[in-house]
Amino acid sequence: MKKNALYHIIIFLLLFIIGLIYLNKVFITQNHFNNTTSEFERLSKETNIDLIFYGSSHVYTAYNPLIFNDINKTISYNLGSDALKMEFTDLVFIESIKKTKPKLVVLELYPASFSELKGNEMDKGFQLRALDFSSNLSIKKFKKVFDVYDFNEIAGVYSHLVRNHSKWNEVDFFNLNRDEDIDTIENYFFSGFIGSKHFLDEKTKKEFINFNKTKYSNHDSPALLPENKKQIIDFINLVKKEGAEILIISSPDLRAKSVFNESFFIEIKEICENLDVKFLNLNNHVNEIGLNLDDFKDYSHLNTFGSIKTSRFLAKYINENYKLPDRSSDLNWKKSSEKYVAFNKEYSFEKKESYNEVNESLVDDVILKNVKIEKTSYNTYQFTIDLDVNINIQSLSNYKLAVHVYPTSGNEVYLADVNKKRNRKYDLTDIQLDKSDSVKFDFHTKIKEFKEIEFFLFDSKGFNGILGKSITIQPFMKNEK
Amino acid sequence: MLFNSFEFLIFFPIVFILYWILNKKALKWQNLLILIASYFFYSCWDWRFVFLLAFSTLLDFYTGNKIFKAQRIGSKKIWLWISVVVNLGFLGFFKYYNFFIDSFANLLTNFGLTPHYPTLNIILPVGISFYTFHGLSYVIDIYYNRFKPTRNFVDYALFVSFFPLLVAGPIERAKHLLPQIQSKRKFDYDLFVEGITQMIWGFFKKVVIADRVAAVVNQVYSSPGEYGNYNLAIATVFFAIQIYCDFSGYSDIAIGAGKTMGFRLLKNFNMPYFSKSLNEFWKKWHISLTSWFRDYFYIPMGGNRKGEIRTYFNIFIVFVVSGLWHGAAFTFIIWGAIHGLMLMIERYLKPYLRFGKVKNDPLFGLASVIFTFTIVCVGWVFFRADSLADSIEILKGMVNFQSNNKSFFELGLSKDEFKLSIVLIIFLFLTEYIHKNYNLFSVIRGMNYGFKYAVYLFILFVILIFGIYGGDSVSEFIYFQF
Repeated sequence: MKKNALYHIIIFLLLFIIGLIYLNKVFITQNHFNNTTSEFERLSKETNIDLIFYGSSHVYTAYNPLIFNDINKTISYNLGSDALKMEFTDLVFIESIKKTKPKLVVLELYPASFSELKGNEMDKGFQLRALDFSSNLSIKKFKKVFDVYDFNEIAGVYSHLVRNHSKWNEVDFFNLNRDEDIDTIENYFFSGFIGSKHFLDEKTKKEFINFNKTKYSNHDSPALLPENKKQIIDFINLVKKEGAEILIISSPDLRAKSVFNESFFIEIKEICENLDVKFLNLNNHVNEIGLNLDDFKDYSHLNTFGSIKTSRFLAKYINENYKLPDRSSDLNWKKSSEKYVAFNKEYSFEKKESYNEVNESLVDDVILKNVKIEKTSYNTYQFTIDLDVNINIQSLSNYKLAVHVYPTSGNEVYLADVNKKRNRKYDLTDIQLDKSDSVKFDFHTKIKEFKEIEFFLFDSKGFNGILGKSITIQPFMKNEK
Repeated sequence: MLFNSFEFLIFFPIVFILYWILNKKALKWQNLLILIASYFFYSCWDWRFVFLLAFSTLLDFYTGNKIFKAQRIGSKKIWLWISVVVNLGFLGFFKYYNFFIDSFANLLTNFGLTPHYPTLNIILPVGISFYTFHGLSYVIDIYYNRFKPTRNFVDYALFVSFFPLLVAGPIERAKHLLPQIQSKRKFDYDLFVEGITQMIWGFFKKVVIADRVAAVVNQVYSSPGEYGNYNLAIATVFFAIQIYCDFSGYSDIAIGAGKTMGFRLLKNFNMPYFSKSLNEFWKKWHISLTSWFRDYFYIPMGGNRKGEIRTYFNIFIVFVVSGLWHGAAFTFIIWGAIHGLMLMIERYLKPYLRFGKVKNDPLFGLASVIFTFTIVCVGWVFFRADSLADSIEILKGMVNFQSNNKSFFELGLSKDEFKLSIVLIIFLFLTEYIHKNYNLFSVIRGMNYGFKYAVYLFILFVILIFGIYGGDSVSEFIYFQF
């Protein structure tokens, strides 16, 4: 072959590889783990991260580095990734220690950390987030990918272009930022933590009403397979080899006592004891933490309110059992501290109430006398409405009372999504009237300050215009104390 | 193993590198390497049928030598018939057994009889129609003294099983390919670049266009009753494009792969949809099969040498058999019959269709191209439809002007995908049209390196971005089933 030809082939291949690298970046899809990893890279360049959390969505929804930074005077980070299996957690750890040297590693484990990946397309997809974080040159990654993924999936595992090319009409070819636009009204993002303001639906609440009981009901099926035990032991040894301490935890999960197998936790505890590592099953401390059903966003994950309680509990546990360097003079710690103040302002819940005397007629025989509003939780207001009714109960049941809550200026962002989509300027509810004197109900809204509240009656068979007249009040919510 | 699979992207470079490393050693080692690679390639589909391929190869190698050595014409004939009967016997058994049994049983049922007949769960060996024709052409050529048999079994086996050709052609002739197998190949950089370019173009046609428009074809043809006239027409035109891009794409990859290894394989397509008559179409569509039927079936039957009536009959019968070669179903036979019939009409009308100057008028040319394409599309309806009843329903639906049509974007492709398909189809035909007139390989070769690289990189990245591939979306080539 001519030397010239070889030279041209090499030049062409180089150009092809450069193009491929660029397109691989173009075809990275937006997901919040991109935010987590890019923020991690930025922070690790500026300071050493002493405390890192590893695991699945259980981790990124539960452990807020703001709180650990504050209580433990440390710099912490949450590297939790959706549905991450133990099999791939070491890849995340190995990649992270290339950038920083943690003093304490917190690994979260629960039964789904070990579920089978082969044939589970969705979970295989979620592992890609961790795999994307891990270097493509890693032999360990190569072996694991070959073990779990089908032969024809391997190119897609390594290349975003191959994996996502069918989304060609969704990508921006000239903007390589692939961080997700996190909805900061609904969620709180900081150092990998993603807190949610969602609350459990009533059905789930009923299903797990006894979640905080003390005993487990499932003891039968085998818990950890030998290979699962080996994965845990290998991870612990890997962390120790890197000179860090490790704490194994299990996060609060509503299914823990009723669905999960207790022996799972017992076996992990045994492994930890044998290796002189602490294991903290937070499901055994839900009452100490003070968790209730309003602290969960679904049966498996805490919401921001639950995460605040759990993070504080775990931070104190870490303070009592581990020694982390004091980072309170670090610029990043100071920034975190400022953010924590704002966070507390946003998420702390203060009981407030208002009382309005109205005495106006909704319709001729129904008078709205008084309206009492009490804030009973972060997103719940209890309304007590006194009515003066001069008709019988049957006639009253022909009416429904509509309540429209208008936010003050700047509070519009807290309107429910459905109302934002419909261009409504208010959150609303309606109540079937069936008592003559007083109506009491919970109104769920994230609006923090009310500009005004509108009341009117309409036909209980369906809305067909306002019956009578609407009454608007300006409630003055003040602190109970 | 499919050309458009991840496996092939690993297999081919390995074979290519080993092949040229062995070039410094003896030719026999190089041939042996591609023979082993070809058998491995075939075994990736189903290793059991490797034995059938090997048996067929041995048979034709042996009978070919016997025919050549036989002194008496009678002995030659016997050996020829042994080869023909056994080869066609295998083809008949694997491809047509159930079709003929079912058809015969249906016939008996029509006469009020209730036949009890055995059907078998037969797997059709991939490429059997192609390698059988390879073998047959070899022994027939020896029988007619057009060619001397090779004494080297490896060379012959490679002629039959050369992996680029093995499963979907082009159908090679021993006279053309064997001498190339038997002579030392020298790495030719220009030929290598031309081969790679042709392979890339083939991948583009298959992965970007054929597999994309297939979504519309598959959706509409799976329930034709739900679609209106122009929906059915679009799906049929898309199928015409799909089968062209699929099959000519395969041929381009095969011919391109051959070129990278120093082989020049037979051309299989030459812009068939720009033909002004069906006669021209068949000179440009699946050229290697058309010429095979011409040389080994039409001409031995008498061709046009036995009078007009016999010529018409020969044309018709060749196309009916060609239809049956494509698949064991009445839809394929009717597809062949339509082409046979139209070619007969074309031949009959030829003297009356000489319009003098009009013939050279571009508008007349365009009308001829559109008319020919329409006839071809009518044929494709039978070729693609799942049954004869579906074919009739589709054709009726196309001329039903009161039918309810769905939007273009409800036919299996999203709005963006549909628009992209149209752009890609225009790009394809423009490029091929330019290639026909200016030979783009030479044009690109003459460009400066910057421009040349830009063209190659553009096509490669178009394939990578817009191709239908990855995960479970690897689709077989349509002609694998034949």
